[in-house]
Amino acid sequence: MNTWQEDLLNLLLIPATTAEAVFDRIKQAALQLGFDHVAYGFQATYPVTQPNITLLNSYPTAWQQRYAQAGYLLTDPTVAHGRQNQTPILWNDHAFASNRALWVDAQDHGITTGWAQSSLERSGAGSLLTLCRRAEPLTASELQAKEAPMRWLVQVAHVSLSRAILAQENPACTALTKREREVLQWSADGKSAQDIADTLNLSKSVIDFHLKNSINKLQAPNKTAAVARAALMGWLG
Amino acid sequence: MARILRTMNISNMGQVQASVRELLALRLKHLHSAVDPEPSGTPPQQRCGTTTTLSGYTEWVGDSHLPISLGWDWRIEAHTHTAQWQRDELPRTNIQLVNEQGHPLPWEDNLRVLATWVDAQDWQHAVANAVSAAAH
Repeated sequence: MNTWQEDLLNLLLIPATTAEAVFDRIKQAALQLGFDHVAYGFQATYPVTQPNITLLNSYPTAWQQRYAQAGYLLTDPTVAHGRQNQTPILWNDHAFASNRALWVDAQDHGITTGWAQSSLERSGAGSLLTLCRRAEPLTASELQAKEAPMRWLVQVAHVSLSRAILAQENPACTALTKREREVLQWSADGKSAQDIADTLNLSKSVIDFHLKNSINKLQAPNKTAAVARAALMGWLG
Repeated sequence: MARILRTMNISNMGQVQASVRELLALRLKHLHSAVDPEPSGTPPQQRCGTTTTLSGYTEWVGDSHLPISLGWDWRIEAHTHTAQWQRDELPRTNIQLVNEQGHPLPWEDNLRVLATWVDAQDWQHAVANAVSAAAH
């Protein structure tokens, strides 16, 4: 039987089926570390004007509803911290100084202890993993003993969940052929179809064909949007 | 922790084989960090006003009874209000992770897993202190 550490290792190595399946395994690992609830939020880089945000959590239903109803995502100080800083944040009066109401509300719903850390990518995408429980507070000695695996859990969650979410939301990622990616890469460098044709020793009509297919697969309105989307998703690297 | 660390061993290839549990019990100690030299050839007046990218490398050793070394390149990414220190590319190391059956991971997988472990370390402060001290 795998330990939770081995299970997380496999999450990194074996592409998961769905984000929900990955999240279940993150929850199991969190439970092994002494946390009842897990919340994961991922912000993509696309669409540019309003990037997609995906939220997964195992909070009690009442707290999920209250959090959504109050619009706490926009005012949650731990989320704001995570957007700017990858240093872990421990839930306490100081952390929620700018939104005492949320902190009181969370405690009223039985969420009394929490720890969160973000993982921010160079592309601008990022995620925040929060580990919570109802019972006893997280002591300094417990944190010292568990922080290394908790931090690793954050990274594993980010890598495996963001990969699963992006694969679900963007099936075009795997559908792009090597040649289509190559043509998009040259387009991203500002090359015209004729330039690319000359470079790759192909006809312009072949390059146009690959560009048209790429645009369709990426569900983009034009070449510029297709290149931007592919670049923001990290598919051109 | 000591019991776990003693189960690590050195392979025929000279790598230190460790399980993921042993990896999580390992503590890194900063050894050396430095900033990459600025590209030469561009006069200072032409660099004025352009975006600056600072990059470098860092080397760490493990606190185990076996000689473990790990290094990676880093760069500072400027965001709207903050500057983020980011690992650049996969790390360099003599650690070879093994699965629960004791089989070594493929090298690329090994480095990808170690990269998540590096990202989980609080390495930025030590590197910042080291390169700052070297500049003075």
